Amino acid sequence: MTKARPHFSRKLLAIPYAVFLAIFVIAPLLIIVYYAFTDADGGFTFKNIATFFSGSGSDSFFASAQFKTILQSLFISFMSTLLCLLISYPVAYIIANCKLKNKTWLLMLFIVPTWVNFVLRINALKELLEWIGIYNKSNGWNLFNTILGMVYDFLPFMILPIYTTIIKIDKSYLEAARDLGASGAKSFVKITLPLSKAGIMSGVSMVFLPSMTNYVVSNYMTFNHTKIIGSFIDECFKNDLWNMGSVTALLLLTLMFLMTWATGGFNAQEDANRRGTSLW
Amino acid sequence: MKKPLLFGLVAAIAATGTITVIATQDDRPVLKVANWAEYIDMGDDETTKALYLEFEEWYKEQTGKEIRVEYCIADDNETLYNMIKMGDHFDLVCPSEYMIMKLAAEGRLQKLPLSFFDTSVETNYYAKYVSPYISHTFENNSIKGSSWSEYAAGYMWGTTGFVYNPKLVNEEDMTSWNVFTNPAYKKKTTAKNNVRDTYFVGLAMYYEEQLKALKTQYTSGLLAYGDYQKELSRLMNDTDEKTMNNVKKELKSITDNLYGFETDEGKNDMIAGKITVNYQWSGDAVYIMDEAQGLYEEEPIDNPVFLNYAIPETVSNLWFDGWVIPKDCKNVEAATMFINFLSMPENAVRNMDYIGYTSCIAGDTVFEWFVEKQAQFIEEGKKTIEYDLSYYFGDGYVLTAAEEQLKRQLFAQYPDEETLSRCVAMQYFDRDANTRANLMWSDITFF
Repeated sequence: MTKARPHFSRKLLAIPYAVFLAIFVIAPLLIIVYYAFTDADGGFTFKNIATFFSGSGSDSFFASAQFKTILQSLFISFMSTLLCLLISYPVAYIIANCKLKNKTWLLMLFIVPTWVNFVLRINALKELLEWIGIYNKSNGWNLFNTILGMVYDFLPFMILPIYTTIIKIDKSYLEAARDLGASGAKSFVKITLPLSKAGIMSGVSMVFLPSMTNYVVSNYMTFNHTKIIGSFIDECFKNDLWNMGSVTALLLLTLMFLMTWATGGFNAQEDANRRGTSLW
Repeated sequence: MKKPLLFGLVAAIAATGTITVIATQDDRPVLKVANWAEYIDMGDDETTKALYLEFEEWYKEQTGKEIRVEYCIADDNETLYNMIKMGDHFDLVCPSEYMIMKLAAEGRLQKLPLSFFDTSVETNYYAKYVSPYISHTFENNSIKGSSWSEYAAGYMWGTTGFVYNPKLVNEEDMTSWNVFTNPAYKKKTTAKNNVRDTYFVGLAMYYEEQLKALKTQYTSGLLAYGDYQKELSRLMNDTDEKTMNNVKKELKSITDNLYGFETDEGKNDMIAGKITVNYQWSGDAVYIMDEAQGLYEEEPIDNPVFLNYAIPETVSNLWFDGWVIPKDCKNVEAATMFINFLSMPENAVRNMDYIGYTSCIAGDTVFEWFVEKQAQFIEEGKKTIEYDLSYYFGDGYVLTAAEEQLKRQLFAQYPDEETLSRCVAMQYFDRDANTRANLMWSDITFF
């Protein structure tokens, strides 16, 4: 028996993921595309897109539920992402630069809460807001509470990538800047901030899309008052409007793709990959 | 490449092996039944078992054949519909009236066999014991030319109305749909978190004047019962584009005033006193009232709260859940026997006791059980009334009950005939109306 050993290539290790990807990501996506472009009898049609953009009842598209839902979701997402960033960056910066020997413990403080079931945490937050007395007060408070819930839920997803990029920044750049007379603020703006851009971008994409669709948060935080695009899709599927739901999901996908592309998210990701600093 | 493949094959063979083993262990034919959660007596673990398990024994006694009931829980009508549409196989399912109509209209159901209605057969308990009120209603409502009764055997039924705390509200307000816009109950009222129940509310508010006029005509004798029902049904099933736009306006005016839209949370919020008015299905209303006054506790509780149930004066929703047999049912005989088993008055009583909803089955056993349940509310020195249930159980069935029960469990479980004359069922939305209704539903919470 002098047969050659079967050749083992490292590429083979990708097979499990490829299979997973094909079954659970690509196939469902194709099904969504199928439903988006067929009518209830299965015939090819563009009517679903037309219905989505033709408004509802006597309202034009810009006064319709679809448009308002998108607008409201974008606003909630934008505010949640912004708040997450404003809170996370300083935290990540401080942890990354603190003199403590074991920073992991500090970081754990922010990660451990995510180990508690998320619906449970949102429910707890709801009770807390009720106790404070700002739960379900008015539409304005509902919006605020939804954003609060999203920030509460997604904060760790912003902190982690930023932290990992900051901690990997070569300290000698900062020393060089100081040597050449740059102030602390200036070296931060000129060096730390640009070099942590990849982390910010991946944090933003980790927070922005989920907060557009995570309707569990908006439902719990507002007693089903505030609708976001995720709840819209959910109700389409629940009420036998699969085609409408699929079109909405597809439009959301396109929207996210365009936004990532417009903000250079794909490039930032590449940079990050090249330097091996991307966590996600 | 070869090794993983080989390994995969071995694993696959091993897996199929296990499945076959399980299958050979229990090769009884299967009856796959889908029902709602907490919607059948699950037994007390000692003397009784869950009713669907007891059915297996009963079936063997009757036919000498083995059967295994695969009992599935569906979340709601929409989920059940999606499952059937996706090709999931069921032998017997229990949707609500509008979903029965939708399934039947789409040709997804088969008619009940004629033998099922033969009252001369000893075990045809459904045909023998179904309430005259239910069978009358099922015969007078139709789906594409066939009456409901051809497809469905009633299981539970009820109305919708307001559960409220009489100490915290003005009782007169509870007979009007305007309770939703009443500033006195701002953030103290809940509606249902689904498009159909809420659309009904909107329609009732939009058509308030017409509904009042119809009622006056009916009570003054100008309108016959059948015509009154027909007119109500027409108004409350109006999905015309113009009407829907107006309903949207009505509903937009209530959302700010509401505490929120709920499905199940409302029960606890009501018992805990977080809200004072809860728009509710009658069966859950009974559960809430029982629970609030501590009926399920062994000892009387310290501070029982007595809640009431009211049905608005103009119109309300009448609903049914019924057993229907999907097209691909392979064992119609077992399916109909399952319905008959649940329709045995003893089992109907067990279900009512466990679930809190009102069974479509009448008969002496059910009546006596209810008389006994009502007897616990009669206190010495307090006024009692005679409550006529002949429309439901047949002539001469009159019940003695505590007077306050007219607003409580008695009324929620078996509303009087006069109240039922202003209750109508809601049809399913056709495709076009369904799209519009859902867009409207998404729109009403925006400011």
